[in-house]
Amino acid sequence: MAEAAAQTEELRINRTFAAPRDRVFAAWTEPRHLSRWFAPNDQFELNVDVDLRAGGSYRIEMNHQDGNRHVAFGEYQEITKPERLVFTWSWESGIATGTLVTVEFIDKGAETEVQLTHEKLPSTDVRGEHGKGWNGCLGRLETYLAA
Amino acid sequence: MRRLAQGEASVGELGRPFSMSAPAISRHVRVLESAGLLIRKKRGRVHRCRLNPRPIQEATGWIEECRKHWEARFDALEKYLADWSEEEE
Repeated sequence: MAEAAAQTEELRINRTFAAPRDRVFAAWTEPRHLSRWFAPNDQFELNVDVDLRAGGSYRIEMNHQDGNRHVAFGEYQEITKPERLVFTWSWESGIATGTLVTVEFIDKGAETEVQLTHEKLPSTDVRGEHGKGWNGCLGRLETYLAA
Repeated sequence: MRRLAQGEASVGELGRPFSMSAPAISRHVRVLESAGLLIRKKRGRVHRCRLNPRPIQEATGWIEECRKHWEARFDALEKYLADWSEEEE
């Protein structure tokens, strides 16, 4: 019972990039870089604001060429350059709020391994309570991600 | 949950592998039911339970969407970093 709920709350992704760690860290933290790679696809244009300090906030506005806008925002919990970033992640639409992202940057010489953990995702218990409201959210999420 | 994945069961059958009192088993079943994970039908005095697969599929779907989201961003980052280093050559 507890297992089923816990399994759905966290995801992890690893990937190794052919670039030195300082550069990969900069790509994740500087608006001039983020605005160029953080979009879901080419049909979005991004406005990015970053206050890079513990307790500082960020805001990523994704403007779709069709006119739709999606905004993600959050607060940095920890910044350990160039090893680790921890920040909250919420969608202004309310689809998910207060989730937590941890990005770790592992030095591999000319390459960098990035390990991303996304946790505090909505659990089955939360969804049980919201019932229909949640189904609506998932429907919107599907549409949103397909955009 | 694992027992229910194999098929319907009565509340009594569900509790059998565990050394729990009948009220405790009922309590667990009620919690699963209110979380939308289990559907209960009464046939006389016997309550039969079956798994409600939708919440787990939905939760799994949500996590998978999230994963696809990040994978797409990682793809874009890979391209961005490759272009960046090409610019320098």
